Amino acid sequence: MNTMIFHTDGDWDTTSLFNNGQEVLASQLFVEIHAGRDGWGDPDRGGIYAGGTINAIIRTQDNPDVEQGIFPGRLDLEFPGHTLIVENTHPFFDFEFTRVTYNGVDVTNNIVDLLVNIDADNNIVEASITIYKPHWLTADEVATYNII
Amino acid sequence: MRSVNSCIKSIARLFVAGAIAVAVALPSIPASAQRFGGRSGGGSFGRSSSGFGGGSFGSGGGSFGRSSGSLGGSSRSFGGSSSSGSFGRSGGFGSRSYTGSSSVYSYGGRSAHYYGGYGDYWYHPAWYYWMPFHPAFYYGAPYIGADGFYHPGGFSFFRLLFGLLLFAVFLGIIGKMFFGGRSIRYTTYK
Repeated sequence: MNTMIFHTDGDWDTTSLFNNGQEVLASQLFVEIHAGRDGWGDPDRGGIYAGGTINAIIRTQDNPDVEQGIFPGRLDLEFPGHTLIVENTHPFFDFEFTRVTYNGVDVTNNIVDLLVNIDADNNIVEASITIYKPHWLTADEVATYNII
Repeated sequence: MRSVNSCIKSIARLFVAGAIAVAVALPSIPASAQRFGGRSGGGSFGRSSSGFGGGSFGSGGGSFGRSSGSLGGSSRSFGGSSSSGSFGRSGGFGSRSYTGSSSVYSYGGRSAHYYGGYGDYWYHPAWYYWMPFHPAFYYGAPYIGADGFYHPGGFSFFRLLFGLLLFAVFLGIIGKMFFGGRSIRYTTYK
């Protein structure tokens, strides 16, 4: 079971990745979740329970051609002003057991998309989360938060 | 801008739907006024002279008729058909004096005129005036006239607008629940 903590203050020098208390020299951290969609692929309420896909891997610096899975386990992502927790402790990594917390709020039932791509080799840093916000009278909202 | 236009169109549609709903409800007003009986009389105790008046005690035959039998042969004692009889009155019994006395009611310790419409608060159950689904809702509260009597408030356009708004919201919710397509707006935050 992995317990990974990613932290950055906004530049490469302050960016770190730890797994079970030990630093991991990684070249890439990649997490992608697609969920909360209806039969036509449009955003819908339900989040993880509506089904979807998840891809979470790291590439180490000594062996960048091999993708190593993060889950089952827990991944804490700490960005300036944003915190994100993705957790899936199911031994077979069933998608329905994924939990997502954004800034302390459980968005498991509302998440539509999540993308975290920390690619040191190509100098790419991007992170965003899209959440479905149902409203009673006004139109529902699909809100995308650009984390970094 | 497109979302604003669609919002305006949506409100307009709801407003028209509410107006139609109220228009369907309102035509019952004059009919019900007749049902409760105004000054014009009519109905079970109306002015018709064919009931008590001309029949049993009238000029026709029958039990108390004009027969020249033991009661003397004249019909004048109980009022004949030609003119006023012993009581100085012609026509049927009761109708005019009855309706006259029923036109004044007591409401909140004061006398109140009764006109037979939905504006007569003192005649209808109070919940009528709180339910926009009932025509009485669209009548204003009574006021005290110069004569010290209560008078009906009359039709209230404010209540009509309020009722239309309420119907619009009500129909809008129903429409969204059963017929409305799901609308989504996409936003981005940093």
